[in-house]
Amino acid sequence: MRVSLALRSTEAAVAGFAVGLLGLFDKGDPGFASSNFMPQVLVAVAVASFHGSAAGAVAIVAAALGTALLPSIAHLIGLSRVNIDYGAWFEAARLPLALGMAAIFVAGTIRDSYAKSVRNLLERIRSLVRRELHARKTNEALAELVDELHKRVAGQRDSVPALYARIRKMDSLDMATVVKGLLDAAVAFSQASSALIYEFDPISGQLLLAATTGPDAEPVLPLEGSLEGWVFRGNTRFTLRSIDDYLGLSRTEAKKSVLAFPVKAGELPWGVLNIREMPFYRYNPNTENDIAIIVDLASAYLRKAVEFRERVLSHPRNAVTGLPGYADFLRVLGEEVALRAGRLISVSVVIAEILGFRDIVFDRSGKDAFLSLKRLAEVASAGDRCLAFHFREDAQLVFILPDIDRNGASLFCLELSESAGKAAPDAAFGSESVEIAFGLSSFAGGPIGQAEDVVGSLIGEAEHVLGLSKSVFALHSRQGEGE
Amino acid sequence: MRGFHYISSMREFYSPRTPRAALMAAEANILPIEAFAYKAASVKPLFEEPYDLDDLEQFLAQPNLDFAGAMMLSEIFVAMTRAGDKERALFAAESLTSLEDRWARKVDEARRHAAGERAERSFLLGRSLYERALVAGRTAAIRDHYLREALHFLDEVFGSGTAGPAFALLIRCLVRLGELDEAEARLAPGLGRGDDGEVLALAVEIAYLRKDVHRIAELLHGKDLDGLALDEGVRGILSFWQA
Repeated sequence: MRVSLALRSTEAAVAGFAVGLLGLFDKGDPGFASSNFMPQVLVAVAVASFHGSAAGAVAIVAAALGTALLPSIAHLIGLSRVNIDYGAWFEAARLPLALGMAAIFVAGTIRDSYAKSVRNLLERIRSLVRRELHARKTNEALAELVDELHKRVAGQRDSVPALYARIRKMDSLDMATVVKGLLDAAVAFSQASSALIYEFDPISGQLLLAATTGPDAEPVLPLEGSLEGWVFRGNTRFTLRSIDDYLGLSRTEAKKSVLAFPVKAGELPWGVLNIREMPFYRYNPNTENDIAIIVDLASAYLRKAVEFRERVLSHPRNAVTGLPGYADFLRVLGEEVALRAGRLISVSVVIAEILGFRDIVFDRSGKDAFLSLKRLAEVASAGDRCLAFHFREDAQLVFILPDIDRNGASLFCLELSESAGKAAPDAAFGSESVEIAFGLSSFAGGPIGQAEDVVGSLIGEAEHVLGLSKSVFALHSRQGEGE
Repeated sequence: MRGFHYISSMREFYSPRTPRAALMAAEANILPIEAFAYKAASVKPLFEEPYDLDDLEQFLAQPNLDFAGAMMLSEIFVAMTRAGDKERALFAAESLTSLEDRWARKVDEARRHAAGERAERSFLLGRSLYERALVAGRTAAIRDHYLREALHFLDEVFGSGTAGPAFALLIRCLVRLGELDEAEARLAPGLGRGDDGEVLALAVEIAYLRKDVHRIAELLHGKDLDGLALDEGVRGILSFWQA
């Protein structure tokens, strides 16, 4: 507790006077001149120790005044017959007073510096506490702010990463996957409860339903007399808000859509995306732009899938595996090589042969053996990095790896071997582990004369490596039997 | 470079799951303050695929999870149940059940809530049932059942109203149930006054659901949207239609 200077001075004065008062009890020597010690000095030193130098000085002055005046006052008012010998008192007080003054100064200084340090310390603690409280409040506010921002960011539906993740799902050679990816992305960004994608069929001249979400939809639509046909024919976007601006579109048809976009595969019209129902609060220019972006980005993937379908899937395929044959492999490899010639972009060929294929045929069935090939092709094509075909023999598949060099092809073989090993317990592979021999070759994309020559050398090299690989397997298997 | 030092050596430290946890750890000197900055800046949208199960779980575990958050989670979990991964589908199904249980408890609490006036109780119960219908109503039958129950409680007390949050909720129940004519008829008196932004927005929404753009134009013709008490987002959408 802090004591004010006035209070300390008063206390010091009272203490000093009290000594003078005490002297009245010794009628012979009220100034304690004959004592071995002078209480006036001791009290002042004590006061200086507790209240500082100034209070000590006040105490010694008060004690001196008290000692000097009180006996005379008491004598005057007749309270006590006390006489003080001022000469003896001054004589006796000379040395104790000098020492007392020094002691008061020392004790007072010590006390003052101590009090000052305590005061400083307290001030520092107060300041720290204030700062801590402030920091705590700031932290609480920061935590709440971060929670709120966390919530807002976490709830973002139309962020660039979310869009990218959706777009990546369209990166497939399988048309159904691309179309489903496009529909899912459009639904995710619009929260549509009913949306459809129609593909234009050039043979029938109609729009065929490719994907849908929500209520059942017409599987086939004419180009004339349907909103989707109108969008496709005019290559025009439809939006409900501008319904009055569209000429040649019946009001009944227009009410079948909120938003409709023509969809392209590369540069060419491919089909239509129609969002039939979406929440009122999602229908705004931002959502419209988001979906337009999705449709634009999908065009490259649709083009890839369309090309794959035309180049590979439209030709006769194996009834069990669904894979195209050797002739298609030669044609597609020739096209891939020609596409990369002179551009220093690689294309690799990997031949995979299931060892013990005949055993599977005899132990189980021919269909099971081909199913194991199908499974192998599915595992290999999982990342859409390759095109799979049947090769010369039943036990062999061949993969074309566009844009992948020899190192990448080696890694592909390792990963495929590992994935096939993991998938071994699958029914398609049977209960026993499947061993696969690989042969690979790579074209680095340099200038060429005839694409057929490169194709021939690629196949020859891959077959040579496959032969070596099979020899190693055979050697290992003989060594195993020998042991 | 201090921040990069933390990032390069973060595996040696305790790994907080949320920015708040990182802040508390930094306060307790368990982590450097860079951990908080890193965590706060690393938040990603829940909608981003592949879905992050930890983030979803942590969001789901929030004690004060609101209706909008629950709807968002519900949408993500439903999408996950349709995906091929069985483990993730199981996680999503369990999470959906947990979410539905939470809203079922809210309805029970609202039913038990005895304090307050009858109007307040009915509104609370109606809102809980409406929210439950949307959170738990993956099938139309379940959703409609709860919506009808909500409508019943709201209609008892607010059936003759023309404005206010409870009345708006009642109209929303009708809209969700597809009873657009009924909803429009009930909105008519409030719409006639022309001073309620929410009533106007509901009327425009009904016209939109009918794909009746002329009615929307009629409703918004000459309206001073800035003068109506409207949420910023709703005002933006109405302005879009008015333009």
